[in-house]
Amino acid sequence: MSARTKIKDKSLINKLSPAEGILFYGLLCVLMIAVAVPFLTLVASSFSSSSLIRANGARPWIQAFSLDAYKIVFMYPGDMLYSYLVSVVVTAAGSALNILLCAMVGYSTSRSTFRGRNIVTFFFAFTIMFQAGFVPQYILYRNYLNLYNTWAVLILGPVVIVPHIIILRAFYAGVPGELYDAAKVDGASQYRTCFQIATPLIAPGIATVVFYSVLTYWNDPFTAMLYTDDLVPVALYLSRITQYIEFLKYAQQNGFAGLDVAGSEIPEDTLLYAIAIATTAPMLFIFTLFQRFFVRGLASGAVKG
Amino acid sequence: MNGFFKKAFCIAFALAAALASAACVPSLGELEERYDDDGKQYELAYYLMYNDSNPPNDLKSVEARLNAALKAKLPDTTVKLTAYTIAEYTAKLSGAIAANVKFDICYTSPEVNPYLTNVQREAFLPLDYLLPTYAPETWAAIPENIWTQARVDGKIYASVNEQIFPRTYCYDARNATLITQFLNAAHPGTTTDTVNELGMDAFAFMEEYMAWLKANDRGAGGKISSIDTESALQNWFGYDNLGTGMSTPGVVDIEDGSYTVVNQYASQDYRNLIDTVYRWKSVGYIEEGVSVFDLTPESNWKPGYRRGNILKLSDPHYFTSYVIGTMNAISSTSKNPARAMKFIELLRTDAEIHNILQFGVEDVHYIKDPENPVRIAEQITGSGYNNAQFGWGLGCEFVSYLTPSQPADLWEQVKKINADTPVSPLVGFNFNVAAVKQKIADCKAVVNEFAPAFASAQFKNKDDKLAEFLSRLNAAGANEVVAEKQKQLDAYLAARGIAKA
Amino acid sequence: MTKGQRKENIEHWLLCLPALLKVLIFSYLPLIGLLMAFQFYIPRRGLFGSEWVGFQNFAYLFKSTIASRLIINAVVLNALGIVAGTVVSLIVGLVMFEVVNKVFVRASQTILIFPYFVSWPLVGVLVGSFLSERTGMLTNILYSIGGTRIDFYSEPGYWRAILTVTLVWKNSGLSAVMYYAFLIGVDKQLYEAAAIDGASKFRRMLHVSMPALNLMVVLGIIVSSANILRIDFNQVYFVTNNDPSLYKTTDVIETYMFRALRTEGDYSISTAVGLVQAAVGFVLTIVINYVSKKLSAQSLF
Repeated sequence: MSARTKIKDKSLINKLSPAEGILFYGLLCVLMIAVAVPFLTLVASSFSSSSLIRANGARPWIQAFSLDAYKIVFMYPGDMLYSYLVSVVVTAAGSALNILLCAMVGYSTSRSTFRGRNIVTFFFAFTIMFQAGFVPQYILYRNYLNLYNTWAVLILGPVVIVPHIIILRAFYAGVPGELYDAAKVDGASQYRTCFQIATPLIAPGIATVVFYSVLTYWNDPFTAMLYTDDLVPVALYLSRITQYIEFLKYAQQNGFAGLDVAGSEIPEDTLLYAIAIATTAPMLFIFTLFQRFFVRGLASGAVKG
Repeated sequence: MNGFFKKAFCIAFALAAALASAACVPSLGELEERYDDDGKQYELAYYLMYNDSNPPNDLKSVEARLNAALKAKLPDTTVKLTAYTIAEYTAKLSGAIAANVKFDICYTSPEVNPYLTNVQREAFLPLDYLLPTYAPETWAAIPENIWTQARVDGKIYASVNEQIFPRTYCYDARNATLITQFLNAAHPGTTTDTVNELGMDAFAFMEEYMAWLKANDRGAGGKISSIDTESALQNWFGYDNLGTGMSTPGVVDIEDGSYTVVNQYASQDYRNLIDTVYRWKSVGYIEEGVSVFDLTPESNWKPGYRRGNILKLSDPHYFTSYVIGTMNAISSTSKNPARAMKFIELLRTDAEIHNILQFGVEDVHYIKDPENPVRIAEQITGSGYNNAQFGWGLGCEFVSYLTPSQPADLWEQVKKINADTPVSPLVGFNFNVAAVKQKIADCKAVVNEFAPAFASAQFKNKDDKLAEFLSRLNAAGANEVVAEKQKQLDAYLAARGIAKA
Repeated sequence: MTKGQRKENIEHWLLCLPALLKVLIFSYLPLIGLLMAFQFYIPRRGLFGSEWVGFQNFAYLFKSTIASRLIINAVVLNALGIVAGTVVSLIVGLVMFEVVNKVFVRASQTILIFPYFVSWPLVGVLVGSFLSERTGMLTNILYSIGGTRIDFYSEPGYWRAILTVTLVWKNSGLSAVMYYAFLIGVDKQLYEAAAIDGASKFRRMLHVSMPALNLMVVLGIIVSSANILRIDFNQVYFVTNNDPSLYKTTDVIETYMFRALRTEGDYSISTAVGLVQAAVGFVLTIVINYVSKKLSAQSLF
């Protein structure tokens, strides 16, 4: 296939003139600093003393090392671990299903041979604009689908995220038409063409959508807050911890029994940072693992495209 | 751009005028109120409010213990408990009520799981028959005018919990040691619970204390983040907001006897209050850089709860909203409302049932004081149940066990305050919001825009902003709300034969 | 249609079927509930037993004395967000694609994606650590240069820009990587041809990469404009610290409803407001889709 022939002198394509090099690398470096400074501030502050943060403001370095905020976050390790488990299961199952369904639609609507493509796209795009709102949705989930307080509501509720369909559709649209012609000559069904021919070619697209999808599931406290009583994902568990600070302050002022108030300082100015780290650390960890595949996904596109 | 929007609004208005029906809020439907108990086995679904940040881990053993205790006390009845935290209670109940989920009992108050809103939604049953029939002790214990306060269009839709009814203005000095030192130095013989007897202006007293802290270089304990102006207007200046909340204009001074409704935000008292906030900020008594998210200082004094850092600054007073501050309602989806009423009665008459829901199971969640059968010695940390701070939501607070720091005669003190405080003639007046519902929402949006910022001196140009605040309030319909309140109040006073001073 | 075409069409429909069913049940079925906007909804009477009140519920939004402020702010903030977000992520994506050093590219991707993990309440706190009048890092720097302390939190003029910057900061890195990923799939021959012609990198970006991304960009804009009146409540609320001094440029429908109906949680009014937002977005989407079809032959449907 012509697309696979490579130019011998690679440097001809890739070489940057000095001016271009300074501009391009410079721009990315500036942006990386713009991102890294707030991020360092966040990490450093989570390990800082709350009173110093209040007095001096947050800075990208640690001010008087302290683990007070983390002590509150990991107050009940058992509950926390269970929350992580819920989040992992829901995120994995939900994202897998979401990507599968979105890819199938994205593929079909990208093909000009599919006569219903516009109407199908419209069908999905319409739901971005017209959402029924909380009450009708709640009634449906609880009274008609019997999804209240089930794993299914956490997994199925957000499935088929329409913007993901649209992203994937654009990626599928970039697959060279000759491949489809060849598949047709081979007599391949659309299912085979979708999963075995087109999808491997848009690995970068899949990788991107996996990313969006995983984060959507992981960071969603609302579905659980509204629709479950017993399943508490990390996002919800940690949003409840912010409430806990108010109770601590109240208890400390009023000397209520039963609440364990150690010391005099409540880390109210650093807690939010620690919570952010506790929520995102697993994601960042997975992301660094996953990044290898992410990049390989991107690279594979380069070889085959 | 603006012209286009104006045109669009005109069209929308014309449509609205053409199609809108006359009434703002439909009148309440005819909900049945006579229910009797069929005596069959019944499971009560109780949405318990859990006053903590996380739901309890060990609700199961509390439920089991409760049902064991019920066997003898309320035969053929089991209770299915579902616990929602205070922060999520409104959202959870809003969903359950919207979906018409079958349940029996829930907590309600003017703010949390809002009472009036839910009555309008026909979510609660009228209790005028059930209360005297199945909860005679509750019916007898709550004074008549407080029941009247709970009425909407003449009917009672929730059972009022008995707790401290009057409100008392206070100041959270944060540091008990420092405030005691100050009192010993400046006002010997006065304790934190008797500051009101000095007869000083509350803000003058606070200022004196903060100046003392500053002069003695002990700034740490004295700074505050803001003045809770809503609480100050009510508990210190004695303005009763007639049940709509302080963020709606229209209040009556409970002491001057003229029963004139005024816009509290246009009053001289409010102006002075803001001046105080700004002066404190400029002198450095108010912390800089705090946002409106910060916890406002403690706003109501109660006996016995404190570690000696809450100053009692005023005498207690009755206010309309706060006598119905916490209630239990029976859902209109209940299949056996009479049984639910009996259970609500048990929360008051049976200390065991009440305290299971408050403290959990003995020796599992708490340890009782061996010396005193009505005091607990210790709540077991991490045991999975601790609803200690919800005594006021469980029928009657006076049957709650005492926690280690509370005085033995705590409930006697509270009862005495309830009994000795003269009841405002306003208690029992129900304001019907129907005619000005939209204007109230508009005013609320304006008040919630400006008032918190004034309370922590966030605006730079105070006088301009106050003028803007008042003109925006007027544009939102403050005067109409005040006039409507006055109209209804006059009718109420006339019906009761209360003369204006 | 030939037999083969028919078979292919059926297969396409079957591929779409699971998602169609899910969306039909979970998103379309509850749309009946939009009728609530025209009634005073009472749960025990149900959707068809509740009293009809015409357009009364819409009054909450339109009768508000600041309705035009709410709508203008929403439109401006969204427009700025769409434009700035698209431009920045497009440029970064294009530049990333041109950079040769793979290690550097990978590092920049990792770092630029980080902010996507950060929640809005936290972004709000971080913004405070830069802009706080007394302790802010940026305020301090500007003070040492200009000698005055800017009080960002009482100057509404800055906040459209600040909200846009936070949105770009949080989301554009990931969008840029998405564009980068897309470019990698583009036919290499086009670049080879450009290289042989001696085209500069900039011309290559403009004439090869940009057209390739055209579809993606247009689709993104169409989808975003569907929600022109909707704003992420968390973004505005937490990033501005809900500071009333800033409402002139930051008050939007969501924050107004929050203040006006905080304790009421009215079923019908919130549905009515949602319907207005949807209707405006719907009209706009159709218009933009049509215009785009005419101008660039790119369209969503």
